[in-house]
Amino acid sequence: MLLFRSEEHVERWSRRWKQPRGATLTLEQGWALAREWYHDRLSPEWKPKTTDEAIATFSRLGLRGEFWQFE
Amino acid sequence: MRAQHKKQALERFDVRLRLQIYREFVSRGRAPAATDLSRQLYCSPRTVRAGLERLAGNHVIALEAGAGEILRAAPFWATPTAFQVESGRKNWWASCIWDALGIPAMLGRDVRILTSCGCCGEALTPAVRGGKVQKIRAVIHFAVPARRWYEDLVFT
Repeated sequence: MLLFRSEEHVERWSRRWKQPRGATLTLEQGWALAREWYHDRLSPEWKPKTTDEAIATFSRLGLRGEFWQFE
Repeated sequence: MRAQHKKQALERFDVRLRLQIYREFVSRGRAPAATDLSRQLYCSPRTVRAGLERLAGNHVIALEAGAGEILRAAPFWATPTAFQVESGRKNWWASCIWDALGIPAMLGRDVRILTSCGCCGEALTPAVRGGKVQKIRAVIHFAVPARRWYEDLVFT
């Protein structure tokens, strides 16, 4: 997951390295995702998310569709 | 019953091990060696090694191929990367922008992330202050769909 100056730069990178376009998030969406994913990582009770929990987290943040599925 | 007690003891040990790994990353900015963990947790290197393997098997950490030392305890990465996270005098490394943002999310600290545009290399320094990410002109790109995230951790 890389940071780019703009969508245009993602497009250029994608063409240059022959990589398919994936999903693009705003920095604010990325921050929301990071907070959901990591806020409780130092808790002794923390457990890795199940795939269903991960998909539910993505969905809450508006990240839906095949790209955000694990199967 | 005995098997159940053993399982619970291993789970308790793995929590101690995981938290000790994080304590080391947070305070020293780097991964502890297996021998450090053995000393810090008053247990044998073999016990630590088995615990590290269990944590890696559950994708809680990632180990280097060969030496088996810790490469990643998300969101931290053990070696320098293109995502440096600084907070005061502290410095950490992350493998991607998601993990770089994960460090302030996890620690509740203000940070500055030193990275660059994946296309043109121009420096980009997003910052988190007071629980909010500061606005800069930038977008995050996920190249790899979720179902393939663990195929190649370095590229992902």
